[in-house]
Amino acid sequence: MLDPALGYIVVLSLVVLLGAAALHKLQAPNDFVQVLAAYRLLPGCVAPIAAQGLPLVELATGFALLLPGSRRVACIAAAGLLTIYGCAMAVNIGRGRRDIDCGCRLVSDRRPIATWMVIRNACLATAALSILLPWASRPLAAVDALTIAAGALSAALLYVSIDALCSLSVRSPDIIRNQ
Amino acid sequence: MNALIISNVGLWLVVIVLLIVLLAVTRQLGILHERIAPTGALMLSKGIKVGEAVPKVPVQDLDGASHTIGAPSAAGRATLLVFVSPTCPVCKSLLPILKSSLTAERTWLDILLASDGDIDAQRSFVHSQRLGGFPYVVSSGLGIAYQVSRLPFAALIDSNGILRARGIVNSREHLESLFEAKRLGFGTIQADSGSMARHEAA
Repeated sequence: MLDPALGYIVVLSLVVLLGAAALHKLQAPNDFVQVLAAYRLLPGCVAPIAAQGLPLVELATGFALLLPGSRRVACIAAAGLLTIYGCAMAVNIGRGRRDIDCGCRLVSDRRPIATWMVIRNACLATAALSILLPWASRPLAAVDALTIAAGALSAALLYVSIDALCSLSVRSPDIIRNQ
Repeated sequence: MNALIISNVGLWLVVIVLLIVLLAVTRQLGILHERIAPTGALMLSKGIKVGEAVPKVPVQDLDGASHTIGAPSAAGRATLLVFVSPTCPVCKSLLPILKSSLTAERTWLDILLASDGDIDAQRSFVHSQRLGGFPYVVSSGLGIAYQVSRLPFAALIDSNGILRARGIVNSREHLESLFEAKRLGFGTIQADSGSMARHEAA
């Protein structure tokens, strides 16, 4: 049984994550097309369409997570997106193409893909799927609002810190492949 | 119940403040990580060896002037070829040092900047960093000829077209180590300190 306060923390954190990811992609659409093409997973003509579609899918998933009716479908979609990104990175690491841009933050910071990102995505996908567990029914008190808001904020801050720390351990090449 | 709520609020506040501090520390760590660089221009094992003639690569700079990198200079001037990129942060911190070297070493040295990629991005980089004083070459062939894998990378070619020193340059010390290496006749500062260590041992 999942306590509703915990459940809402996970939901809210995922919404923030998906929203931020979509925002980065929408801010630099041309960069994202390049990043996606560099992964060399989609045929040349599909990549630009996918680059336009993915941020919209992310936004829609985030929005659907907020609505109780569509939450179960949305958390499967969120886990699916995270798994697809993780697999795309794993395939390119397997190919030895470790120097392509991960596309995590696009314009602000270009970083090569790494194994820890695949593990990170697996953990996030598991968290998204945990929402599928049956939720305990208990009335939410005022203090739960604090738990949920502060919990989601803490999760976001922790995510950014872990992200920054893991990037340090990877010696980033100064030239990142665009093709 | 009230006591629990107050303690809960207090603890959340502490958790969030601590996380913000953690974030600031990791950011600071990242800045330090960028600043700390190995001392001495680093030699890469691949590519043209010091003491060998470099291939003659004809290139055009952004102003349209032609240069032949590696051609012997009649005036007896050496060439410092510096590979930079608009997206490389260390390159930006190296540019003022290069500008001062351009004037300080002007009696014997020409400095050429080389890069690769989108021409418009290069032009705006030259404009924003005020690099008008340098010939700026955009050529992918040049980077391949010198096997440049990490930036900023510099190669010092003497007036006969012989490679005298090469390596990654992150600071004034690295850049001057290349000039020093040429003066002493060593290819890299590491080769120099290696020979000194052997000398001391003997």
